[in-house]
Amino acid sequence: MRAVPQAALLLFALLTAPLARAETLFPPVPKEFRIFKDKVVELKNLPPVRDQDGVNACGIFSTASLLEFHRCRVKRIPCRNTKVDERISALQLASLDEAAGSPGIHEKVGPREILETIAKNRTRLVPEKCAPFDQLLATIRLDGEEVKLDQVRGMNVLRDLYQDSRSNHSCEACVQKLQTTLANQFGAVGKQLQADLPRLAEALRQASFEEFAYRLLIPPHCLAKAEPPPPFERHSYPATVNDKADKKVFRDILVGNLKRGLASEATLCVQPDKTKGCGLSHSVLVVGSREMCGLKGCRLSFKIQNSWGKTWQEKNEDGWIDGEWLLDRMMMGSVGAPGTPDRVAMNWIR
Amino acid sequence: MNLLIGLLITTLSAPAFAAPPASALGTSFERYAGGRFVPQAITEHQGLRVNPECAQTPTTCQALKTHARALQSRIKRDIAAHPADAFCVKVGGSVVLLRDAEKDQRNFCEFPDGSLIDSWQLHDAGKEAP
Repeated sequence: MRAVPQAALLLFALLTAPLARAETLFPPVPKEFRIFKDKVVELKNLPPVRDQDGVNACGIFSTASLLEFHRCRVKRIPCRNTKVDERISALQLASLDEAAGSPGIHEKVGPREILETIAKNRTRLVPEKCAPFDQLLATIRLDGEEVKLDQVRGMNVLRDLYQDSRSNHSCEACVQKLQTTLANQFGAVGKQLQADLPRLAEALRQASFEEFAYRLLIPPHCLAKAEPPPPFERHSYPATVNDKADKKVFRDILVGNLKRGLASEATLCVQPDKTKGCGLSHSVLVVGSREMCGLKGCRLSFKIQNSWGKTWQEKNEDGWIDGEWLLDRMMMGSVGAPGTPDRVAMNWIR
Repeated sequence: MNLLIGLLITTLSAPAFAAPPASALGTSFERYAGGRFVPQAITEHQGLRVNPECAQTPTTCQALKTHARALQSRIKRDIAAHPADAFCVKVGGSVVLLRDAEKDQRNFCEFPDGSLIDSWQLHDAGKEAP
């Protein structure tokens, strides 16, 4: 008779074992801690929440939001009143990596490189209507797999076309082929693009696919009309990729920035990896902090704006997460693979 | 003494908990289609954000059927660049970004029959974390 409950218990333990081992991403502060009202700092006038879709380039989204917040703050305009078409194009930010040597769409570009390029060159930032990321994704989505910016199905089609044009055809024939492809496979965005023959020809003349994609997807007339963001000083911690990070410094900078009304971009590790240091990192904006206290003392909580859409914010207490967890994951995110330099894990502008 | 202070703080700060924010529902969503943003109706069916056609035919709507399957089967959720997005694709959907009345973007999962469900609600159904 006693064997039955034991077997049931064993079965229950086996079924629930994976749950017990599972770790929650972005956990909240444990429930026994309550908000200490006097120690809440929460930035207002934030831009609307973005969703990066399946594109593995979170840094361009968090940086776009950081720049929008800076623009609204300096110009004293309500961020929510910005027309959707006037928001900063995340697609353009992916092209702002000076180290790459030439303009091009690069998936790997990080917040530090983007902000450095803009601060140095006073780069004009094109609005979403000129280089439409959502629309482009809606048109050229890869079915069945998570996408990387340069692996979106449409990008692959374009890459094949570009490479083909470099080797096999006269330019007239390749422009026509590009026109047909855009008209047939790229929906409304493609139809607009295919009518601009000089731009297509110019794009195909570029020396690399990244430059070709840049010329094709970010119209020069938009760059000419666009405005640079209000001037800013760029800061990073660690200051260079060769410096070691310190958890206490992370905490002090995040809290100090918030007290001055500044948001910070934070890169953290969402998938620790024993061999690589971090298997997958993610970038978010830190927009609030509060102290929460209970019987076991007090604990810090940070509010983040994630690029995983509004529902994610809602189901995670509007982005309030455990501060210790965030700081630990920023430490993990700042450590490169063994033998490689550490990474810059946070950026801010003022 | 510390215990007393902790208790006092806990008691005094209890009302500071805010109610969860209300969701924007109704016809105030927009999606990009045919070269422009067009209205997209979203309604609530048993707490799930879906399109009205799906809510009217819950037994045949693929979005709700997939949600029910996810509830029972404990399909593994992967850590990914966007976990809800990746899960949507894993269960046979494709992602559509909608914009709500407050201009915030929301990730919805669309199925071949045209039905839509909030990707995070689908992701969290019977969730077994990675």
